[in-house]
Amino acid sequence: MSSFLTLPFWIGFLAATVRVATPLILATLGETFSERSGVLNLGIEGIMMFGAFAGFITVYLTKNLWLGVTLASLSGLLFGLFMAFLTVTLGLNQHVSGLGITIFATGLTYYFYRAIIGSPTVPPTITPFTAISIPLLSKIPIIGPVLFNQTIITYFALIAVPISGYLLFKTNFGLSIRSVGENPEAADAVGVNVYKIRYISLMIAGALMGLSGAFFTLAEFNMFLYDIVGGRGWVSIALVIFANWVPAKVFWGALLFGGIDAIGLRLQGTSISVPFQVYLMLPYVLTILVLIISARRASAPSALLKPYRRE
Amino acid sequence: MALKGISFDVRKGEILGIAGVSGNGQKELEDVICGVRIPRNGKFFLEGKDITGKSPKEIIKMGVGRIPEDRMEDGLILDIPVLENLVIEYYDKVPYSKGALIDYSKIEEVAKKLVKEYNIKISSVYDITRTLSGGNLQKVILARVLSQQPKMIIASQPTRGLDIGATEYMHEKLLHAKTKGSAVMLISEDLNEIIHLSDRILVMYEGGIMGIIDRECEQVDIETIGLMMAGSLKREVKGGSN
Amino acid sequence: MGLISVKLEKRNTPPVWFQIFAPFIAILISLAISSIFLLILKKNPFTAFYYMFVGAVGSKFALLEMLVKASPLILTGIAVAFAFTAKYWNIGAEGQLYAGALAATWFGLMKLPFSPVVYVLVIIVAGIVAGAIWSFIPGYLKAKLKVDDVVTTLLMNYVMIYIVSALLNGPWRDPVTMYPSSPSIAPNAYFPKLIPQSRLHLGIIISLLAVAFMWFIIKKTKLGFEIRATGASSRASNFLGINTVKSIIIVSIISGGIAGLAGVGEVAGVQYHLIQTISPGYGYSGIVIAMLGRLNPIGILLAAIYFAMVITGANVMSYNLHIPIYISDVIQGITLIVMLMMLLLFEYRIKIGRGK
Repeated sequence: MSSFLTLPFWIGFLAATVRVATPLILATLGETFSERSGVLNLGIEGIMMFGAFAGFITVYLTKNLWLGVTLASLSGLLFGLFMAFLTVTLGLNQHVSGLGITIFATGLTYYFYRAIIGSPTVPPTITPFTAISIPLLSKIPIIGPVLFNQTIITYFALIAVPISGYLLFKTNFGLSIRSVGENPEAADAVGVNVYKIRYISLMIAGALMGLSGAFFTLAEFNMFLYDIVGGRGWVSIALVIFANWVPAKVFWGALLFGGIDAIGLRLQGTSISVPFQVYLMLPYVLTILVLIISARRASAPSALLKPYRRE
Repeated sequence: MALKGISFDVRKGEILGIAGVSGNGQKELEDVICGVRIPRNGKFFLEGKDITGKSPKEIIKMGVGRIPEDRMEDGLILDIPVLENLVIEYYDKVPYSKGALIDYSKIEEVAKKLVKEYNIKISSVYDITRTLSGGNLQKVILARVLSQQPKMIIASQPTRGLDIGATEYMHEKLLHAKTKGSAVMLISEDLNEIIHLSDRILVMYEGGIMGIIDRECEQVDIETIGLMMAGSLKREVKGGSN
Repeated sequence: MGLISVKLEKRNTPPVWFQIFAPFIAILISLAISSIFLLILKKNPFTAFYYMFVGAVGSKFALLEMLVKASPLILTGIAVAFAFTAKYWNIGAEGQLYAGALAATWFGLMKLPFSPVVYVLVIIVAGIVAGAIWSFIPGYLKAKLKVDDVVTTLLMNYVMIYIVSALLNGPWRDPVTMYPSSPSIAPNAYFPKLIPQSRLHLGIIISLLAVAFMWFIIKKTKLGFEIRATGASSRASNFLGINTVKSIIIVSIISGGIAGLAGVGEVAGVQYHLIQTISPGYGYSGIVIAMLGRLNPIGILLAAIYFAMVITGANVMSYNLHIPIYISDVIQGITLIVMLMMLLLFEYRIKIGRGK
């Protein structure tokens, strides 16, 4: 137990936290874009699933990690487009549309994985992204090894946080997204194309979700597993509420969840009396508690869940 | 908008018009009386009984008929059949329900009667409420409220958006309810409507009362009301609350 | 935007024949779309669907197996439909099913000296209570504290599945095989078989009772009206004196209880012990079934039978044609989306034209 007190333990723990938080940051940022424009995207879990698969299978077949990342994001973008068609053009119920996409995308993932890979006893592997030490920065004590010795996808996620914040709150484009999510009639009246903005938001969201899924198969692990996403999409939906639809807070929320996950990973096997499943369920329980606490002050975009139909 | 120091009474068999530019506390007043907003302080009495902060259900039970400003969002559930909207405030009472069971044949019978009596234009009482025109939607609410012979009626912007025929119908029915002994509170932005129907006129400005004009005692003067609505004329208000 | 403009015109309630046929049309369209994925694997869709159909209803054995699968699907479908009627977004039927299975196993393992009738009743009640509690928590949180029900019900699925996993890998691990599965429950807690030498058990009757129960509650009781009103407009219901908090809480309890029953049936009627894979996603299928059945009890019964055919048939199709069994999940997802699109035609007439 003395290892708990050493610096290397903490550095390892914090680095793991950032790593585990990466897909959450990406997916939650995606969902933030979606919800800010007025659409709850419950397709998130399925889109991540498909992204994980698309990334893996591309790399498995071509050995090209970059192509894997690209196709995973592209698949997410296309699912985002589909979600937009259902909820923006047709104005269908967002809850059910999203669940439909999740069931469909998950089904497709399993279907094609089984068709291409079959069911071998040991799942095939790929060579995943490796950590890149950033010169100079990685030499900073503590922060260096925690933040600057990660994979490229993590760096992208870390940069995506301020970019998303800037985009949403400092640009005209962001203003349009927020206005169609708050009051589409008013936005329309001043010349914002509500449909177009929602389409774009959902496509950005989908691409981020797809990339988030690819992190699991191309960086965190080196294979595809049927439960690889394991509800992280749903956790992201909760994190959006926790973060009050603000990207900077998304970062902290994801780190909090990642930390709990990382603690669980580290504590597994240290205690005989507590089954390891308790650690595995901890993040979900924590997420529910966080939701309860944040429910009172949560102020969702006013037009969330409401289809817009121009009369 | 906060309500401040409001105190007035509505009497049996009169229409009290509440005039004012929209956003001067009328909506808040409506919400308090309808039971969807609890006032921080202040009381609301019906026949001497304090019903402040009671739930909508209790307020309905006490005999308050409510014709809300937002008829599409508050007054009706648009995606259920008309017959259910006609009885929704008292479906849980005999004869509509017995124990846990609801008696749709009885409800249908009453609904058909109301549809005829209030001249609601539908093809069947099972029509989905959403498909009705604005005037007919308001008639559904009116039928629901008046069929209970309420002790008090609060009607908020009852004719907003209605055509002339439906407006006249509403006016006629409110006057009729008054002669039947209901105390009617009419909140409206339409000054002509207020003057046309009211026995007394209360003018609101920034959540407070600028004065009450009793038409038995004085001539109605549009200019005076206008000044009061604009907040530039204030008169002493006497009297307690009801 | 774009080249095609889709215009929606409000319309009155569509004719009854259309309402009844819409789900059937949705099924046909979704099978046609699913064919694309069969063609990608160079499989003939007609052969595939033929095997699927034969595999589901081609023999007495197949038919009975299909009904064994239908029973949990009817229950989760009814559970979800109850919840959705009140717009309580219970996506947690899966977890509630596991809660019911866990409780049934727990009581079943006690080997109580009860007669079969009493013991079966005991585990049924235990399963209902467990499922109800697991759904009451998010229901209460939504009704009283406005905590998003979609996320809580979903996350609680994972919590319950880990609880079951902890039990199966811990205290309940089979001492003989050391497999993560519980020992068998007491034989006098088994659901009786309806037809000898088949697996068809009491569960299907319970499912039919659940269908009748939902029909009765929704159509005949004050509670049913309150549930429908709350779902149609929570704001107006509140204004008009309906206690929406109470409606949501009660509906969450009913919904969870029924989903719990599905878990009881799988333990006491099919497996006789608890395993990690006791449900291949019946809880999620319940969502598809509830929507395809248009939240109507009879519709749900038919929709559940259809998906029982798809799932059972997919096994046979998969075995004979080497098509991944997950085609049944693909079909479910597509059907849900297509049905949702069909519902649009209930409210609107769609005019498709050239873009502006």
